[in-house]
Amino acid sequence: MSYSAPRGKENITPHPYGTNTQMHKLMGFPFTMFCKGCGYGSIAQAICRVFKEENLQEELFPFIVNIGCYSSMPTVLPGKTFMTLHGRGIAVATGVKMANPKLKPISIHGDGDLLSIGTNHFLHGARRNVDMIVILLNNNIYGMTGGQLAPTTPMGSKTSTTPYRYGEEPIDAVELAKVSGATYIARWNTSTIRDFMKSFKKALHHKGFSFIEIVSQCPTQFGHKNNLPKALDGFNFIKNNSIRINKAKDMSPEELKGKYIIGEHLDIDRPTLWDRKSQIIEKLKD
Amino acid sequence: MNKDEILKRSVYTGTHLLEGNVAMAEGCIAAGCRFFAGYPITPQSEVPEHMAKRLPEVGGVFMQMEDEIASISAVVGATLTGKKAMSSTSGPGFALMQETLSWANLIEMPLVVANVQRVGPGSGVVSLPTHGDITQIKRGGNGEYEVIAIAPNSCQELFDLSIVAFNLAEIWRVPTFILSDAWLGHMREKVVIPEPEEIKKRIVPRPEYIPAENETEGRPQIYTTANKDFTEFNIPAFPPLGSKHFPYWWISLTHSQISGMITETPSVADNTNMTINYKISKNEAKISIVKRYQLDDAEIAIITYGTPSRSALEAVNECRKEGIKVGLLRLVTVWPIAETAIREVAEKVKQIIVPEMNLGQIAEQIERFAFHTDGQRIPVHRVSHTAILHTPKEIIDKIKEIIQ
Amino acid sequence: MVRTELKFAGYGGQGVITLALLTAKAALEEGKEVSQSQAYTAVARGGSVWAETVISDKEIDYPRAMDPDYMILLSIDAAKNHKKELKKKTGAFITDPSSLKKFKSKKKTHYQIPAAQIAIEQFKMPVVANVILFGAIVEITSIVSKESARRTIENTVPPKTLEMNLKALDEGFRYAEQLKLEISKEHAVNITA
Repeated sequence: MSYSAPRGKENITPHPYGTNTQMHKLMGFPFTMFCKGCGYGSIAQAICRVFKEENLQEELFPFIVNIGCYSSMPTVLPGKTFMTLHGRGIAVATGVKMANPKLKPISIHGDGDLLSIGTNHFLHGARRNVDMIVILLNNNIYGMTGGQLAPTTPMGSKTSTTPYRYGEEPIDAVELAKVSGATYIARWNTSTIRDFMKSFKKALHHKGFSFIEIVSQCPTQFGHKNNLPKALDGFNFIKNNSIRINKAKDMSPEELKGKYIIGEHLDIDRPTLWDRKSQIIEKLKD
Repeated sequence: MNKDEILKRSVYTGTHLLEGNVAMAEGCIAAGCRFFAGYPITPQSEVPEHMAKRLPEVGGVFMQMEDEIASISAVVGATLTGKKAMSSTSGPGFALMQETLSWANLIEMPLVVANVQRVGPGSGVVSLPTHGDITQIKRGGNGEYEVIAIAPNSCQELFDLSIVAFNLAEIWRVPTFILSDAWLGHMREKVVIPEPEEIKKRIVPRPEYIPAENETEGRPQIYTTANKDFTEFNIPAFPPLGSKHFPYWWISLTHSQISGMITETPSVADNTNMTINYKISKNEAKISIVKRYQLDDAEIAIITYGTPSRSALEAVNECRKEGIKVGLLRLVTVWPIAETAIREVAEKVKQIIVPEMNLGQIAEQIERFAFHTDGQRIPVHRVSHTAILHTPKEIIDKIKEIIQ
Repeated sequence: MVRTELKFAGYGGQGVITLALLTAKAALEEGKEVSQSQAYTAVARGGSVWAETVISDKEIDYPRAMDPDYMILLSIDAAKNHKKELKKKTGAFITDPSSLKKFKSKKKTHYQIPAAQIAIEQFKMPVVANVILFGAIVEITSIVSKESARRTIENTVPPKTLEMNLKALDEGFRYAEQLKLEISKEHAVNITA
């Protein structure tokens, strides 16, 4: 599913899950604009699978898509998509949720988008416990603009804006979500797509602010600059640097430095923003 | 709550002594606003405060967001979902909103933003009035776009014109602005609010999306289309987010006005920009609201808007007592600039005076139209202040100075 | 009454805006046109504050005080800053000697209402000083009838304190009435002399 140019309908083998995408419905074939070896295609596919398996009413689960490499993902997403400005997805989703509480917005973000320009909205969305899902597609770099330093770029990596490998401490989105008050938190990577699907299903049924980070390889930008030019190199780099949460419990902070702790980090219940708002509206009715 | 009950609750019928900011909030609720997102900033904080109290009573939602960027983004989200939504702010917050407002213009969102202006630049003076944001309203964001901005001059108008602002937003599918200022927002005056039934007649509801009428080749037609000369516009209703007819990919990039899809073709992008701009500027005569006062035999015309128009009115009355032929053209809508009305006035008078609470942001516009039919330019005199409301005497002095 | 302009000045927390608001409400009670505005420094308490009420039978064009008829001064700073704004021959000052002792006007009528003192001595409640002053202002300016002033107080104050506030209002009326009488006698003496 990664890259299949629309050469003509008859030449393309229909993708098993591609028929569920909007693009397939519209054009008769699915296609993405992702680079060769990018992990985002498989994530989109996983989302499609979950939508099919759960038999979701697509208009009730609108995707809010921001600006980043994944912005073209709607071509292979199963539902209705509203594309916003760089980083503003959670704020827009808050408006959507408050205006029509029947909807459950799914806001898709990149690392620059969620952890740099839109961090404020992330913290406050989690604090308010808006009933929505935030998916962070973390490729450790600004891909679309040409491979600049991202807030998640591992320390000492080479990027367009750190040619001398000068680095900054990366931010841990999961910890940030925890202290901000998100009620469902998980992190996976492209080698644990099935786990991601399970988490995504859980998040769909979870009432509150769900946050799922998924670490993905970026062969074109991050890989090219850091000796991981092939898809599999990046894939393995992330895989080898990931540690399951139950294993990580027994490890020291030094051992965990630069590692991705994958797994389900939090699953609690707390009244959502709409619970509180609707209570007041109910109270004032008489 | 049924619809009648909500309507009854949403209109604060009676004669009240209301603060400007509160009168505006009441006007917006009466107009059907059911979602407000904002951030506290002097001198508009009474608006969110009043909204927080009143909106839940009518089944609406009030959100105090983390900043103005989030506020306007949430307003876009709520508008897209089918609610009439608004935000209010003052200068510095308004500057933060510009990126999103530019986008809201591109995707033709009928939302309302109130700007209770305070003296700038920078943090400025929080309690002093100005009209320094007039240009920012339509030239603040990236790209080019035309907006509708309405400038009330009394608490009664803050109520009445708020309803008009929401109506214009719906009719023309464009972000619409209510221009208040620190001084008007904190002034208290008598406000007469009619019965709910009377208000109901004044409201333009959100147009309903009808698939059979608004679909091109199975795709929803979500944007305005125009003919080749940009003389006729078809402004369609849009399907709300959460309905089956919502397009599968509503983008924030420049799009084709017909398919709504992403474009990098120069001519298509050109057409998009022309359409959203000309939709407003070429329909200026239909959109703009002006009030004419003693203009029939006037030799000098005062052209102004907002609070200075009250000083101007007093000045006209005083001058008329002395036999000086002065008239007043009040721009109720500041944007789009009321070209037709200004030209009409300019043709008849000898001189124009523009008292403004800025250094001539609208006077610059008026200069473009200040010609007699024979092409002779007529002088446009400015009476400028940036933080002070003009006294009538000041305007009278200027009139006497120029007739000598 | 074509147009009456009242200007109030003092420092934050003294009740300057409350007084302006009460006069505006009372005018509205009689169906008059009214415009009340105010300005204050960024300091919430203790900064200088001024407020204006313009009352008219006709629609008010220019909503600010252009030429005040009455100037209500409550602090030394206010007196310094705003004294000169009272230019009208018929204009009058209303002051409270408990917060503004040494103020004197040679040309204009000057009503001294020791509202704060009365509030403490007679009512044992400093807060009613505003209502006493309001009563006195209504009596002196006759912007509204006493009945309308009473209704304004009824609609504004909490029910528990209504009785006391109405008494304070009457005291304001009474004191001002007496003062007016005294001043007009003095005036008459001056003219005959």
